[in-house]
Parts: sequence; structure tokens; C-alpha cells
Amino acid sequence: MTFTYSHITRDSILITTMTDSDGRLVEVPSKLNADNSVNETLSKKFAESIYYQNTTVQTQVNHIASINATQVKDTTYLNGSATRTDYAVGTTQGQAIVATLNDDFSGEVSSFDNNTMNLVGEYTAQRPPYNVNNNISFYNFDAPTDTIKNSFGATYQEYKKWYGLKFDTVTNDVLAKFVIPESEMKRVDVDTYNEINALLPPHSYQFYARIHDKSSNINENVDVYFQADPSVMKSWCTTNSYTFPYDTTDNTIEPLLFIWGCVYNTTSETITHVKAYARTTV
Amino acid sequence: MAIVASGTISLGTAAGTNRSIKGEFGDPNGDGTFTLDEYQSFLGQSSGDEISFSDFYGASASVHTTAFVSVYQASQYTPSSGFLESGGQGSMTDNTIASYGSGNQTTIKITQLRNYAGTLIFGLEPSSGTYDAGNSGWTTLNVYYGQTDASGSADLSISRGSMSYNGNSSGATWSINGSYATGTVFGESNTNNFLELL
Repeated sequence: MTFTYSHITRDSILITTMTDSDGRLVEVPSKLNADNSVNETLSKKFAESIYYQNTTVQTQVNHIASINATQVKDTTYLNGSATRTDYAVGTTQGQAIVATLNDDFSGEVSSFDNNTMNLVGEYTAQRPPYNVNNNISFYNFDAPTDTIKNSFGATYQEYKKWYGLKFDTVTNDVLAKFVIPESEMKRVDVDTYNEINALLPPHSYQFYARIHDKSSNINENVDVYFQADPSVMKSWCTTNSYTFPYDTTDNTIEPLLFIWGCVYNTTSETITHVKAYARTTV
Repeated sequence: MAIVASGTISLGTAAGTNRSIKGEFGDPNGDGTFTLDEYQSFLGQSSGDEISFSDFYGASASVHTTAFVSVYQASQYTPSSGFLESGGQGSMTDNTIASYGSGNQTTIKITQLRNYAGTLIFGLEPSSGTYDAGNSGWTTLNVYYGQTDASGSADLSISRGSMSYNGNSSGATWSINGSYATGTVFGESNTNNFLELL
């Protein structure tokens, strides 16, 4: 697809326009430099985000909406292959993992399956900060309780209405993943927020996760999640020498994609991993 | 409230609030000064067309008003709330806009007004034919939470100019990412709301 860009002023507002060769028009408020001139790069990137939001990203949104949330099977792709499968807690596979959690980690939350949307998965960690042990991932789709926040030293002003716990089945260590909206990430660490957004390709609907341990330490690796066009992601990974998360010769994956994730290391100030998430039912 | 259908009307409020062009349509270009020709788009006229005060008899800034029921869909990771016709999410009492844009576009329907993962999205499509109004046709989107009319002040008021537009002959969407909390816009349960499109 070929895009054509222009910058116009309408009713005293600077607007960046973008048209594709099929006649679709995007108009966005231009991103400005400090001297109020149009920032070409950021404005074009913003326009492309809005373009894909209504095309291929909308396909991902529609895909999510078509799935029964209580029968979910999510596959995480990293470094070119599937690394984890999450199941809704009411499925046969989910119930088996919940039984393990009840046996070994029963004190962490009052119930692992009180919300039928909760997800659980067993995996061997392939990236920091998780130990290279067998782990169990638990996503609770209720807002974190004060008990959970206090246990892991989370003091955010805004939380998304879910959080994750990561159980190391060898050491019994537990980490918490607190999920926060874009505005909260900007509030708590604007430098990291800006650095991440400068690196990301055009995308929509971003949110963040920060990992806390029981000593209230916040890990240097920050997760950012977003929806984006697969071809844009491929091109972006190639340009930046990031390992694409899945096997692109497998044509069954792309129609099931619903979200992307990146791991950003705040010490090295680089994106270290790119993840893709595919959703189907058991 | 529409401008009166006869008698004296004024650009400002000298003739009374229900006789004021500025009072009905505001300050379209936001520059604090007012001339008749800056209101031509509200009448379906083009810049340069002849315009007179009588053209504003009965004119209303309201493009459309309707009650709608917002439904919350939790989902995992990407909750949404509001109205989405194609997804069967919520409902809108009257989602058909009888006259839209320059007047050539007469069969427009509202397809969505919802908060998807913190982004507010408003969508229009032609009921038949093609969409030809582009990024125009309204100036302000007002939502009154928990109401079935537009009484009082709007709880959410967004100008079209602050939103991003994405459209072609199949329809148009406007969106703005303000990190809208789902609990606030439009709530985490089914709620009655009122839309006023100016």
C-alpha cells in the first residue's frame, strides 16, 4: 500500500493527512516540535496508527470479540516459536493447572478460578526476570486487591482491571505483574514512557505492565502491550534486528493474533524481546 | 434549541438567546470574532456563497440526539463499553441521522460510540450508497451519563477537531486516545446515556 502525506491548517489546527491508494483518508492532529512546527516523523507515525486501527487492527479487535472468554486458549510466541499456552480456568486444561496452584500456592489469593475469565498457563521461562525454571502464570481479571498491592509494594494511582502472578515451581518465588494504563505509565516514569514510544512502530491501544517482587522491588524490564498490523511488525523487526516472535511460514498464526508485546529494559534502554499473542478456544 | 423561525435575529445575543447565531453555533474557528460566513458550513453552504440572516431561521446546531444503552464487555485485556451495532453491543434508540453533512448524504447511521481499551471511538456509515461527507458534518460530541435527555451539562464533550479521522466511501470513524477509564466512560455495567451531536 502506498501512502501520501500532507500537512494542512484547518480552523487554526495543524492537521496531518494521509491517503492510501484505495482512497482511504486519515486526518490527525499533527504532532508538534518544541517550536510548534510539525514533527514529520511523529505525525506520519500517528497517522499510520490511526490508519491501521481501522483496518488490520480492527480485524484483531473483531477476532477477540468473537471468542468465548471462558473457553480461551492463548498462545504466546517469542523468539520464533510458541513458548506458553494460557487456558481459561474453567477448561479441562485450566482446571488441571488450578489444581496445582491450589496444592502449592493456595495462600496467594482467595481463589484462582472465581472469575471464569482468569487464565493460567505452565511454561519454562525464556526471558528475564523470570528464572529458567518451570513456572505457572496466573492472570486474574479482577482489579488487584489491597492485599496483593501491599504484598508486592504496588502504589499506582491507576490499575487496569487485571494483574498477573508468576509462580516459580522450583523456588516457590512469586512475582506480580501489575498492569497499568498508558497515562499511569507516563505519570510514574515519563522517560521510559517516551523512550518506549520512540522505539515502537505505529500501533493502537497500548498499556503497560511492571513486575514487582515481594520485597517491593520493581524489575528493570517493562512490558508494553499494543495492537498493530502484522506486516508493519515484520518490517519493524527486520529494520531493528529484533527476532520476530513467530514462524512466518505458518499461515495459521496470523489470523489468530490479537495483541503484541515488547520487553523494554530500562537499564540498557533497548527492546530486548518482541512477543505475539494468538487466541483461539480449546 | 433552534433559532426562531421568524423575526429579528442577530450574530451575537442582542436579539435574545434564542435569536443568536453565535449562541446556537458557538465560535466555529475559535478565534473569538464572529462573521456570518464562518457559519456557512452549518447551513450546507460553501464559502463564498451569498448568505443572509434569514438563512438561519429555524437553524439548529444539533445534528442528532439520541438515547443509548451502553453495555460493558469485560473480555480479557481489552475491555470495552458503549454501543457497537455490528457486535450487538448495547443499543441506540435512534441511530439514523436524517440529514447529514452538506445535505447530499441523507442515509447515515451511527455504528458505534464506545470506549475500547481507553480509546473513544465514534463511527458512521451510510445505510445505503457511499459515504461522501469526509471529516465534516459535526463539531462537538456531547454525552450525558445516566440520562435519557440532554438536560444540564454534558459529562463528556469532545470536539471533532481534537479527534483523529479515518474514512473512505464505506464510512468514517473518529477516535481519541485520552486513556479513558472504562469505569468512567461509559461504565462497567449497562448504563443509560444520551448523545448530542452538534
